[in-house]
Amino acid sequence: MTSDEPEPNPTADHILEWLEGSLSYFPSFFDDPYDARDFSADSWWVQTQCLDQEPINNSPASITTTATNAATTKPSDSIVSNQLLPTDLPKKRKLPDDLNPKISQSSRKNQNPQIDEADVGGAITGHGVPPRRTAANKKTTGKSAGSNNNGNNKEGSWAEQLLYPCAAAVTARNPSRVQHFLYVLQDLSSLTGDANHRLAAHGLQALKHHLSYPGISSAPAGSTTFASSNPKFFRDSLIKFNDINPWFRIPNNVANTSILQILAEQDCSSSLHILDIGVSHGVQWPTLLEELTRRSGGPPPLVRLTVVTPTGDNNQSKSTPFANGPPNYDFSSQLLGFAKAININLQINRLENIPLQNLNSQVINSSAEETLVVCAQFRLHNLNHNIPDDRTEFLRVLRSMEPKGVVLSENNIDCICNNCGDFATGFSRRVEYLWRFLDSTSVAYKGRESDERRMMEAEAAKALTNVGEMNERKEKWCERLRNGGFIGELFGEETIDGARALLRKYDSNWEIRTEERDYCICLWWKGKPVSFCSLWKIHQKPCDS
Amino acid sequence: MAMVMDLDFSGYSYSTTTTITTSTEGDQGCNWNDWSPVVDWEALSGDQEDFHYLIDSMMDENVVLHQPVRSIHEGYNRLSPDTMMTDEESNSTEDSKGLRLIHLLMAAAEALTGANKCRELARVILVRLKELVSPLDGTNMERLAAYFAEALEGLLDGAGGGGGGKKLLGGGKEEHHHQTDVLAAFQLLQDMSPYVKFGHFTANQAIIEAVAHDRRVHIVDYDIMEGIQWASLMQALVSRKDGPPTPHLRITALSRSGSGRRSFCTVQETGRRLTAFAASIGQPFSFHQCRLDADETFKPSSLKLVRGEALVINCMLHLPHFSYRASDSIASFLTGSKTLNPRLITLVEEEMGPTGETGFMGRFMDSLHHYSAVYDSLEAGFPMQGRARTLVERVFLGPRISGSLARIYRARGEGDVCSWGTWLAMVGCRPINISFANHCQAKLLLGLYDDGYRVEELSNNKLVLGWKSRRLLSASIWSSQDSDL
Repeated sequence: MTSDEPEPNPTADHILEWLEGSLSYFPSFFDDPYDARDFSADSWWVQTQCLDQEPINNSPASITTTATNAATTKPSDSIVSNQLLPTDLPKKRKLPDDLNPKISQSSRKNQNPQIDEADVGGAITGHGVPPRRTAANKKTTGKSAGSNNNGNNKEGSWAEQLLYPCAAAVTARNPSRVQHFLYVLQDLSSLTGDANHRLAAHGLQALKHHLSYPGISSAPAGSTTFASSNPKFFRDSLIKFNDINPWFRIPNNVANTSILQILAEQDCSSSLHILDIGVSHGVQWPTLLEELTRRSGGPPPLVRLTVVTPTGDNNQSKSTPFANGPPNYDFSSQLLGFAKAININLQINRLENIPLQNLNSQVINSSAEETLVVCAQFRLHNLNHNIPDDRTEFLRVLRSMEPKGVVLSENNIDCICNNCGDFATGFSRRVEYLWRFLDSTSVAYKGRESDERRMMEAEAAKALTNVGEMNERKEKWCERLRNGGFIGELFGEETIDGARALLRKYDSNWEIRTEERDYCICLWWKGKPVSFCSLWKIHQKPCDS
Repeated sequence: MAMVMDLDFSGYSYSTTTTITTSTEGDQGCNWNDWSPVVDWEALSGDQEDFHYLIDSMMDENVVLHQPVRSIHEGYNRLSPDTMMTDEESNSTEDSKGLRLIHLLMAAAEALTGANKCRELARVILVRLKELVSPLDGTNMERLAAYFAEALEGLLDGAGGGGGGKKLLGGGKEEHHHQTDVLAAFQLLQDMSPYVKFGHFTANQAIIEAVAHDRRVHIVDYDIMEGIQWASLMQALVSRKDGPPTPHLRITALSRSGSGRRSFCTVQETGRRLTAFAASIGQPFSFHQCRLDADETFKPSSLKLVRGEALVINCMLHLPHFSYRASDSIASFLTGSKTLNPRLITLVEEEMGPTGETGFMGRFMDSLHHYSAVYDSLEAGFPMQGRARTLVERVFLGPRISGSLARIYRARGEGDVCSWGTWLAMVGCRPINISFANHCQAKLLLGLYDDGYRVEELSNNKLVLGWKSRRLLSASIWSSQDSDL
């Protein structure tokens, strides 16, 4: 999703530079077997290109409206076209590939004509589909099973078999046993090895941290996380990650279609106000804006986006995984430029340093005439649910703002705070969570090492030490929302179908499960729950008073 | 086994007593504290200047290792990274690598057999170990770790399919070694350490004392090997001054089917050599063979006994160069022998630590402890002859380690296995006192070797050879209960 991204206007020098860099960077790309089916990473090459380039001109003025559709390009195709870049045209742009999630992947593929390499220039400026090299595709299909093997066989991850007993020994206050496992972990951990070695490395860091500073959150020392990375690198990496791992992409997609669903129930002339309490750092919104232009009756007269950034005053919120971007990262101008380009009247308001419990209609400046939709993704679990019970308080606040809909996406795992279990229990749940992330991410990156991957993983690894990781299972969340005066809303069929269609481009170990009882769309990895999405409305006869 | 918490963790205090935590089953694997002093890191780092460069180059990447460990040592709640670093500097790199290896071996063994079995983890650890060590070079601990890793790998590979571990039984691997290698290694072992001579001399002295007034002596030897024990006995018998005339000596060697070192032909060759030797020194001598059954069980009826002969049963087990004998075979030999009312039973066997209820992990650690002492003692004997030791290790000790682990792996869940000496006592054999002379002889023998060797009289009928504080080998003498009636 780089549609909102100003064009770098690459000169020939830039491209050559990048080519040289990328050739050594991905030496095995041509030979590496992978399954094209799960990797229709349309924006792959565009992003990769950006990663190694100079910071680009962020001025919205450079936005043009000649958006091209590069959907469903295969990575091998991309590389082929990259080689041709020096002869290519400078204007290269693509749109979010899930513009039309209702269309199944296969049918979308068929929309893209096969284009000879000689036609690349025309293709880019025209329909925007890089050439497809059949031979390359043939060569690279059918061997995905091997690359998906992270040692995650029936016995589970071997690193877990060291981390769990070590945590148990910490809880049992058995120092010699702890020492033993630290020795072994030390010898088997590597931040650049396979997913298991990485899990061991992150787990070891977290254990050492706990032993030295128990009960204090910290970012893993020495690792580049979101907050410590270059804004451009951060954004590009996040976009690419979304392209190859549905961890956030599916929740984002479900949220967007849900917002459309809510909006469709309202008066056509009503303006849309989205309260963004999420971790998408803006990358999910271009897709929504695009969708709004396709709405019958046109886009709402006004679209307001109120972004609630995590409060930066305490360590706890800083260590929430994925929530904190680089300090000088601001997607507003680009998004505004994009909105302008597609004739959407967008307003963006950033609320900084406001705790979630302090939000109210005045703070977010909402009015009764607009359609307020709250989009809460992977942030609310950081609210204390014991004493003080910030979580219940926040739901009360949320209800008082009278949103037309609340989209809630959260990790579908048990709570790991100190009040809900001992260190061993909590740590094991954290490790389980991280393993799913590392395992799926390893598959997503085809096992290749890169700065982007390391950053994403280091960010996820914050979950191992973050004190505020007070996750709850979806059942618990649903109960909480019902008690807070909300009522579950069924997702529209197009939402579920769209999510399923989108998921097809990812690894086949991902699956979506829907459960009628909770009205939830759940994302699973290798038969284990990862996250859930749910849609809520205010119960008109509240039961909480 | 109670954990000794005060060894390394004196600075570590909890409000609850640490012994409580050791009662859980999961703690069984961490008993290495108990024996880590015995691994004798001093010896490891003391006279090994020639290996320092090897270790130094290996350890460069692992400087960070001791941080977590030190932090626990000193109470991990109040430790800053700075103090961890300074502590690190004073630490010997060899010590830390040795400890690492032990931890990795423990973890691999536990992954193979523990409550949370994870073959994948065992595999990963063994791969790592193989990166770190080789059986052919490095420190004692490194070579030892290499053999243990190999042995564990054998279990890992063999444990899945039935019978895959069979080759690990002693006698399987050694066939691959060239005969000249075996002989050279045996010679080296004889020269480097008192193990073989201690067993032979103690048994022979007991035999000489027991048959002092007999005209005819018949020795039934369970595992004659090269027969070297009997050459020295003959020399002793013919050189007795002021004593009775040299008795007639008859030796019946048990032989096994197959083509190994103790097959019929090999034993016959040994007999020829002994006969020639006896003739050369004027010892009246005859040699016989008695074939064991296919399953190596012993039938007393197959022995040819002559009235008036003093019967001696000689059972040498577990000498470093011996291969493993199935316990059923040994039991049948000892049981059968007892029915013959022998004058004397001489038994030499490996001393294993008290393993109690610790299962595979406890026995695994005990084996590691045992063989690390053996390795250290061999090195002390010939510090500069690394190649010679490597040969002994490759030919004898490596296969022994594999065999030992395979047995304790298969014996998982079974109770503690008692020593054969205890077994003899249980079946009613009577201990015979070790003479003062015999004890003195053992001390004299050890005097020829390194200071680290010890001999102790563990009970009246048993001498134990040890290396530093670790008991390695015992010689005990027995009689069938009614033989003197």
